[in-house]
Amino acid sequence: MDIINELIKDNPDLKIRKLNINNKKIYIIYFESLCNSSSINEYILYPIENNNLNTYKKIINKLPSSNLLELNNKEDILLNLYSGFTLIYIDKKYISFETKEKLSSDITEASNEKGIKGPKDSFTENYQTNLGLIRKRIRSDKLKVIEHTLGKSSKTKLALIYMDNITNKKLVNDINEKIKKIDIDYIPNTNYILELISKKNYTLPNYLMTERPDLTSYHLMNGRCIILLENTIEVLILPSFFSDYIQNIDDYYQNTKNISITRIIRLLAFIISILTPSIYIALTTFNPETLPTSILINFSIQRSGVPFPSIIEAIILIISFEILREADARIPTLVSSSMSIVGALVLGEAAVNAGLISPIMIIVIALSSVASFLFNDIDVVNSIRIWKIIILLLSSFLGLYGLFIGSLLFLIKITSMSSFGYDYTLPIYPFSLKEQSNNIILTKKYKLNFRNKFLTKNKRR
Amino acid sequence: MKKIIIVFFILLLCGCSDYKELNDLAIISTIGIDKDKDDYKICMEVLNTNKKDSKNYIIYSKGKTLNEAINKANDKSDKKIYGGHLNQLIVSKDIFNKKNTEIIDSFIRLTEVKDEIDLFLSKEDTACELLETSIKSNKESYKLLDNSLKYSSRSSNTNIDTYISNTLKYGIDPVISTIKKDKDNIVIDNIAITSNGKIIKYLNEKETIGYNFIRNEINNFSIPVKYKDKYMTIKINKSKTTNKAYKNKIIININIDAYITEYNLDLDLDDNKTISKLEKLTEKEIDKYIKEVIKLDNKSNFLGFKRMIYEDYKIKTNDYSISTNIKVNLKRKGELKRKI
Amino acid sequence: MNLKIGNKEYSSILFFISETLFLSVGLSEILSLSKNDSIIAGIIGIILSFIFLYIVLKFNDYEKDLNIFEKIDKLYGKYIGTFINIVLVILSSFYFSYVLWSQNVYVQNKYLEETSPIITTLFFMLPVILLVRSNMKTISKVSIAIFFITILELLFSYFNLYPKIDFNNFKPILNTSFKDIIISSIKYASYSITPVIMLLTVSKNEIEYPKDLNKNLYIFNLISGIKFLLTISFLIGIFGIDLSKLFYYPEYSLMKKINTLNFIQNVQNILTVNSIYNLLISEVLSLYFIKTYFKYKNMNNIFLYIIIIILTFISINLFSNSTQGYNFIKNNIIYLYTIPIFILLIISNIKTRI
Repeated sequence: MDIINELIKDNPDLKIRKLNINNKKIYIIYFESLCNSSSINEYILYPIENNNLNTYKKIINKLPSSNLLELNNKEDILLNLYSGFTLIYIDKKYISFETKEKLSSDITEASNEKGIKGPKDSFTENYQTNLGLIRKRIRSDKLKVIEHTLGKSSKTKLALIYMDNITNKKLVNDINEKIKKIDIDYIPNTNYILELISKKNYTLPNYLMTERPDLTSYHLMNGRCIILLENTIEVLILPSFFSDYIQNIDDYYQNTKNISITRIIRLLAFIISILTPSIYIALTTFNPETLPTSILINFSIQRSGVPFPSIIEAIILIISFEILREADARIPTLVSSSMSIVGALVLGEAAVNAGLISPIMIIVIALSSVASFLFNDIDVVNSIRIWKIIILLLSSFLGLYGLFIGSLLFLIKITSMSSFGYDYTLPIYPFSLKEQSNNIILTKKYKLNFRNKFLTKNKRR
Repeated sequence: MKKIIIVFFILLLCGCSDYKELNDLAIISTIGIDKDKDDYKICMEVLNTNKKDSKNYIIYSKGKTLNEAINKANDKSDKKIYGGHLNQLIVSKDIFNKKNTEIIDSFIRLTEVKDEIDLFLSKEDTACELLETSIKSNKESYKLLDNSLKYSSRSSNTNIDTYISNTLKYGIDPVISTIKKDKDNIVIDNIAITSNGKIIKYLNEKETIGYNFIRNEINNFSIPVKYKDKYMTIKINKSKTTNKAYKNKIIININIDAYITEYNLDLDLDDNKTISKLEKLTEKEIDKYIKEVIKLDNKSNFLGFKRMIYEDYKIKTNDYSISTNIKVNLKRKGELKRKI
Repeated sequence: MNLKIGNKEYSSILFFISETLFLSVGLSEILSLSKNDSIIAGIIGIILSFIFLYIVLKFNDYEKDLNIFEKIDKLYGKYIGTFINIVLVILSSFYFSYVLWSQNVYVQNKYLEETSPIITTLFFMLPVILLVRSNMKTISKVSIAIFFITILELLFSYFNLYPKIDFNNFKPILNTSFKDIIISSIKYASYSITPVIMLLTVSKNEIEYPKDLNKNLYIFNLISGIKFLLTISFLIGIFGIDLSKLFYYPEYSLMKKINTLNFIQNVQNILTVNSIYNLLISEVLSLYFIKTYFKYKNMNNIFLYIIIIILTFISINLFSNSTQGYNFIKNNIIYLYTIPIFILLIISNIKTRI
């Protein structure tokens, strides 16, 4: 009891209830902010009062609870107290009883990843709910869970989930060993885990974070590993490749033949969003002979009277577009409609009418920015922004030659990335003809019958 | 490693010298070259890029060589002269006879200039007068002639590449088309043939048609055919010429698909003998054109017969006979079986 | 999770390095020597290049675990082996400076006329150094990616150029003497196969499916030869031989001719990017050759970077003007570069049988 007496000085929400039953003292200890008081009343106080449970053995056998533990050392006592368990102190021994308060939100619609068809539920901040959402989709005994507790002060639970007969054992052991070596005091989100596990950090993400359980269970059945963390919505899927950003889980719920064209459009959007501003600047300022004469005269007429050189225009527009995007993410909904009108007016009409910016530049920058929003993950959008600016700077100083150098740098960067032992550009290099049925084109035969042959040896469904 | 890259990007700032803004360019679409005692006098048409519905304007300059004249104009104008969209060259007759390869040399040599530049000769007026009339007239801003005028069967079109290529080859001489002023428009005139770099003769309309037949450049062409003082019009749809060369003779084979578009003769179209008679009449008509132009073969090699013999048999000869073999197929005859 | 280099990717490097020496010197030389018969000279040259390639690959088959330096040390003993290795490294560094110098001249003439050559060279060295620092696996991945881009561009340009061919320009054939044709073919084979020795820095067992390696290398050599034949045919067919042997950079002038629908004109700057890719892969491979030697002798990495910086600054002023440089290479490259390497390879092949 001296541990508890120490704690009660600084924590006013730690409550102790003394019971005296047949001259035996029973102490009920709990945190009011973490425990559900009505369940304490109903499941602890009421049975103890009514059935006269006053010895240790009686309490353990007769108290109605699904989760009753006997505790011995100080760390376990503290861990259980802080996790929302109620402690019963009797006969100089501690018993813990689960009475958790529901402190997280309900299962709602996914707010960041929208889909057209398919289930719309998403993960919540509760660890057991998330695990339940996965387990109800895969009802097999091959689904294995390895649990760790990380963080000296936060003591968050982490689960590494994989399918036993599909996933590569080497990958699982590798990730497991790395998790065991983590030494940090506070983990707020899954992103921390990623940065602690991997040695190198790239701009383009080599992992996948999602909040949809259907995508998670699909990837589990394909041979990847899942990392679940308490108190976070996003779930980490490892390993992940470049072609995952062109694919979406909605593809598998729609007509197979139309999806190939959708994927080609996504790939084109990626290329357009990186290259368009630099192609425009390189062609109009360094090599005007490439454009046909009528287009050249049109651009020239539009640019008459503009005081800035083209590259400064482009940088001003990119910066203002990024400011608008960031402001849009933070603005409260009450004010958002009028602010969006102001943004559109400022960037669109007023700037052109005042003669500061030519209309063609607005079209180019807007096209490239809108095309980058095709991708779900905000990390991909941000990394496209960095590459766009690098290639734009290079091409504004060295013309078409700079454009080639910039795209070579991007190519070298992609081909030298690796994701947990697998190459990042997986179905293209090392090239495999069978895997191409799920890369940009999707065929019905692949979708129903095969798994990714690089990730698993169990290839047929 | 990353610090070195950042230093690189700061170094980028000293690489700006090739940056040309679009508004600072004077885009030239036509150059006209005249003679001024012993020097060149050029006039360049600059496209208008300031506002819509404004006119183009002309820059004049003079110099001992062509590029010196262009350079002098560059110093005087406020925008940098840019030749990447140069489309036409007009050369006046006086200067063409003396210095034709000199003029063309700089346009092939420069990297900036594109390859398909049309070459025109001006017989009577100077090139600058022609440019001034074309600016006043109401045409699309960078084309000198309409496309349909260029590609008709009664004229021919040369560009610089073919001109030089034919000059360097043995046994064929290049031709060049001429233009002239017609009140306020510019129209294409007849072709000039050259030999050893000098202009010899201007072809009339029949000789031009015969030349186009031999070089396989006929399309969309109508011939009137006369029989007993009445006319019918035959339109040639497809015409294919293959020239076969032997050691001492050349045979011109022409294969034509034709339609009847206007019919005023008294013969009945339903009869087999009529069709073959009409075909023979057309063949004779076409043969007249070719015979006219073959007469000029001893003055200049513009028909390329010597080269055909050289290509196949590697002999350089001057005596060969030319014969023709024309076949006309009347494919369609219209809706009616005889004249109204 | 495999650490071996892919087969086809490694062979696609051959497509690029066998074309580098044609950029400035080779193509116009072959056109001037064997005029209208350049196509026949090209076909004989391809057959000869297969024979040359066979000599190189036979040397690669000996001791499949060692790279080229270790093989030479094993065959010739310590002192002569070291001497030969150092000569090879010097030849490779001269090759690097020549390629970088010729790239300077090309870029200054065609792309950026007023920028100083130091800036363009330094910026081009950025991807080169990034690739040299990594391993051969990344180089082969980059190479197969730009191989696909090159094939697409070539198909596009040939498709647009085909209507302009005049088949009468090919005649008269068989007009040049037999001796000229044979000399052209020997030049073609030596320009295209001699740099392949730089590919041998990777031992054969580091490549997966090593039995298929030779077959893939022959296939890519054939593709490179077909590209050469097509370029020559289009050049002679469109311009005629008299005009096309006057050009300094014939492929560039060929791409200038593309004019479809009056809309796609003057795209030659975009379509000749495959010349820049050739130069990139050649420079990367020659520097990788030097790096492998330094790693074999366990020298510090700093020496490599110092040598790279010295070579870069030398190559900016290698020859005083371009005519002098091209004439020097034209007259001397066979004696200085091809003949020593092939004598070395033939003697080594004979020695491995003993």
